[in-house]
Amino acid sequence: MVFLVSNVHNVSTLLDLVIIILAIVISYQSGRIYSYIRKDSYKYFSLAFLLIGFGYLFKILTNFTIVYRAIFTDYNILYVVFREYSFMQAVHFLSFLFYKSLVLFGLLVLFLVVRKVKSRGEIFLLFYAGFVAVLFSMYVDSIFHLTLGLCSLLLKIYYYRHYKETHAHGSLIVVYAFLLMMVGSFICVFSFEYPFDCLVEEIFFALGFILLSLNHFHTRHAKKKNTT
Amino acid sequence: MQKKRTRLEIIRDLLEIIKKGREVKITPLIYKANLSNNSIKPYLAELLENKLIIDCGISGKKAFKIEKKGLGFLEEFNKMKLISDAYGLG
Repeated sequence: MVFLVSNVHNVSTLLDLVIIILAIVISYQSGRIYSYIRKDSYKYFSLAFLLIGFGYLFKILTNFTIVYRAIFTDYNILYVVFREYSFMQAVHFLSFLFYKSLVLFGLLVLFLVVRKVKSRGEIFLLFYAGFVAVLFSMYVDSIFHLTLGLCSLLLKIYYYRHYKETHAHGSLIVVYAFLLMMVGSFICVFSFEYPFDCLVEEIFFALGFILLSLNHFHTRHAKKKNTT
Repeated sequence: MQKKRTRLEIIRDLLEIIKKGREVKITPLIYKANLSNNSIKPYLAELLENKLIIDCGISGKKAFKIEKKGLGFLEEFNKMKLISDAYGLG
């Protein structure tokens, strides 16, 4: 069982790395646009993906602590092991807290940007709700996945409407990307086979991010086509 | 009917005109960019503020010249437009 769990977390770490790299690429590109035209929506869009990227960095840390804990619980005879174990639990708790907060706040920032929410009251209320969801999710994990799923659902609805209005091919890709993220999150809400269902969620999230980044590779292609 | 230009497209058009004309005065710029005197002002202020163009006019008469950053914008315009359209950030 220990072997299987560590294998799952190795795959999970790889997927996290993919998500981090793609989130940073997306963040960097919108940051570049901001450097040219100084429009706040690009700045916050970039910030949202940066937060998600950092969130997954903490997720990798949680993977290591889970494996560490799983191995040590089988040999927890010595005092040193107990001491290490409680230290790792603290690291695990904190990294999970940061992972959940950053990813959720990243999605909330994205939601605020695309919905063009300006009212400070609404922003405060959303972040407060996000904070409460993160706190509760430290005890009931499915709350976090449910909130992620709802955020992805709302973003998917927004982008679907946007696609209907503009017929921009890129928007359709974004719709599919958030659809994948939503499905992944909802699978994890009804998780009975931890950590395998959550690996499925990560696969869906990584696929979503790959789809989002397709937009960025597609743009490179368009640029080359235009210059020839 | 021609589609309304987005903000990014207007900025691109202004920069293209300034790039072609090297030093462009405000009246031909308004004319060529198909903008009114009032609507061009915030765009020019933004371009100047972000150092995409410089005002090289003398004795109070405005004339604009493109900067290196402005050329960079034109080079990356397609990429920016696709991202902006895809995410609805326009």
